[in-house]
Amino acid sequence: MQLPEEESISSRRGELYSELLVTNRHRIYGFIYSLLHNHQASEDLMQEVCVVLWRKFDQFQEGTDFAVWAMSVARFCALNWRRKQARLPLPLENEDIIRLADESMAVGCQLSERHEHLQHCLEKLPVKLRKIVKLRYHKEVRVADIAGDQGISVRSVYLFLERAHALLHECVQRQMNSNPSNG
Amino acid sequence: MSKHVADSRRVGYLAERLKEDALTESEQAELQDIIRNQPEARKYLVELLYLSVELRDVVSHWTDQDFNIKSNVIYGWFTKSAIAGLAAVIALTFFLWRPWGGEPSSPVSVADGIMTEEQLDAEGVAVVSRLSGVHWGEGTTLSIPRVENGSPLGAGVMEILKGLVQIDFYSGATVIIEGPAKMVIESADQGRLIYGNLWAHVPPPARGFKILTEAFDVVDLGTEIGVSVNRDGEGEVHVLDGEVEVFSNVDGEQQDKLLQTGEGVEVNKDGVQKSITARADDFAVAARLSGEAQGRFQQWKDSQQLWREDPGVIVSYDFDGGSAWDSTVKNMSTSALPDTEGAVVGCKRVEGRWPGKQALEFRNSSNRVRLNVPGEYKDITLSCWLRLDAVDSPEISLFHPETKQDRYLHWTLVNVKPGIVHLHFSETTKAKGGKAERNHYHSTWNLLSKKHGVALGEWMHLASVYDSEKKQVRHYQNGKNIGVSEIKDPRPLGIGNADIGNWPYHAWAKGTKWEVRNLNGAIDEFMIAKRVLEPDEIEAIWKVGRP
Repeated sequence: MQLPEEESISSRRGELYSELLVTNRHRIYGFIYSLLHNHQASEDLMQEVCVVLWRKFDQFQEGTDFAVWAMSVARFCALNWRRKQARLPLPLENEDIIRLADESMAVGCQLSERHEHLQHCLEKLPVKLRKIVKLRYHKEVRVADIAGDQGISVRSVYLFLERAHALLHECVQRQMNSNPSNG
Repeated sequence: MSKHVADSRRVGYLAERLKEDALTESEQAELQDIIRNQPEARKYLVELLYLSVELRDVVSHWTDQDFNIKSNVIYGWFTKSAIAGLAAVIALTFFLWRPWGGEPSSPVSVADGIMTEEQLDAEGVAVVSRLSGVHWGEGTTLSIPRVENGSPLGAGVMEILKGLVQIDFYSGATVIIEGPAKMVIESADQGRLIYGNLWAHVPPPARGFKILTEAFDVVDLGTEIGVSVNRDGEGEVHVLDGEVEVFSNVDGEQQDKLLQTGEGVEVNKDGVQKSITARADDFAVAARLSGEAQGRFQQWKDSQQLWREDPGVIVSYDFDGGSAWDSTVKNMSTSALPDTEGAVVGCKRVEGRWPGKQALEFRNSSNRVRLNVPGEYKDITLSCWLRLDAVDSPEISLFHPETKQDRYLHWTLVNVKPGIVHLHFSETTKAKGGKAERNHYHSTWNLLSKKHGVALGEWMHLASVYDSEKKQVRHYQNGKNIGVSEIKDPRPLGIGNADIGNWPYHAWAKGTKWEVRNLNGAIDEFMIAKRVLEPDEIEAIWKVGRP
């Protein structure tokens, strides 16, 4: 993140901002991705959102939930971005994108730092599913290419990924319920 | 509100398609409906999107040691023991099919085994038992290979542009649908007819079987009925035998009519019911389904007799009429050389292109038909009816030789890219000193082309012709020429020992990508001729053999 030159990060306010951003980055990014459905576009928009957040940071009240505030800013940016696109992976009517954004904010607000849980759940995943997950996320190999490289059908890859995600989702939820961290 | 509620697996699949930017228009519409009308599914969709962002964060920092992965593990998936797979199915079933928002499921035991697609979908509600001339529409969400295999089907949508489909529900009810029609299989005792004609037979154990439509619901009380609905949602119910109850809703008030044999009802889109007389003839689809298929089966048998008597045909396997325990297939050709029957290894006899016609099903790396054809030939035509169910390896054997011979030929399918499969022929001659010289004749036509080819699970006819006089190798799919390659220097061809649907295994291939070449599918006719079959002859084989 490049902060505007004239602002001083060494100020207390700047430090607070950096700290909050680092802690909440994955939630904000997740929120953006859930509306854009594309990583390249989401990374770009995340940069923009960070600049806007810093510019508006004096409006943020210390002690309130930074992620909620950041998501409401990101929401504007994401809706604007969608309006400008000629083609989207998933075209939606205005009211539907708002439904999706509301849902994403609700889910995002409930998320806490759960990478540890996820790591634990990945370890419990059957090794074959773990391999598919690795192929898919480590180098971001496309489904069709995984199918080609591994000599299995595209449909099977989708099936295995869907299975892996369902297992991980369930496992992480269970971990959170029995062992919530203070995110 | 939407009619069809997506289950978690469907949402998971759609989420993957979305992330890949690979949604079809109908998948986009499904997601739009989920976002608009299905709050639980929408929440799960969003959670999956967040999960994929987290996975990207976590997994991108992994090293190979983090999870100790050996290369090529995936090849082993399909041969995992069924018991381990079944244990995993049982474990998974508990939460994968959990209704939305239910109690958290019991702790999941993650068995270290993986299921085949068949096992994963074993929790079916129905199977398709017969098909006739079916063209599937894009609205179909059920897996076509599964539908056409008669594998268990879960809930899902069937859109039929043309043709007849018979569905056997697990409750015991049988439904035949005639295209154009759209039907949602909802559970073992319930289907939803969006539009089209259907005929249902409900034996006593299946009493209470329901057919829902936009304007009315039919509860079958043990009977034979016909139901038709047009695209505006207006419809008719005809009771051919027995008793049914028809419900509809007019301005919030329930209408309920009990109909007996010979009675019928017309329901407009507002739910208003009007009595009519049942017209049995409109729903005689069951008889037509059997009649058409039997007629074509008989035509094929007649033509088969002519091919057997053709002096050029040296091998003619029709895989028909053997008992389940028969371990040989008879060479039906009247010009058959001695000992040219095929030895069946492991293949199962299943229903072929028509009810009553057998085929051999090839499922795993041991299944094969071994044969020996001595002699040298100037020209060769290879012809087979094939149902390809899955593409599991880079190369798939239709007919594969033992390569320790002096002359042999390969007839294979080559999986050049996902979704793209080519037909390939090669002949090999060992020159003095034992060095093999091989000529390849490859057709670059995609057999699975969405526009012109066939889908996985559909029957197709394939033929390749080695024509020494015209110096050409010609390839055919469903009677149509799909490629011509020039032969520079025609040579005598040999077959010798070979496998249909597999290849004589070689230890050298172990652990390489060539290790697996077996066919995953079925063959119900295989013919070798020592002469050139002309284009019109090949077209005729296709025409008379179409399922």
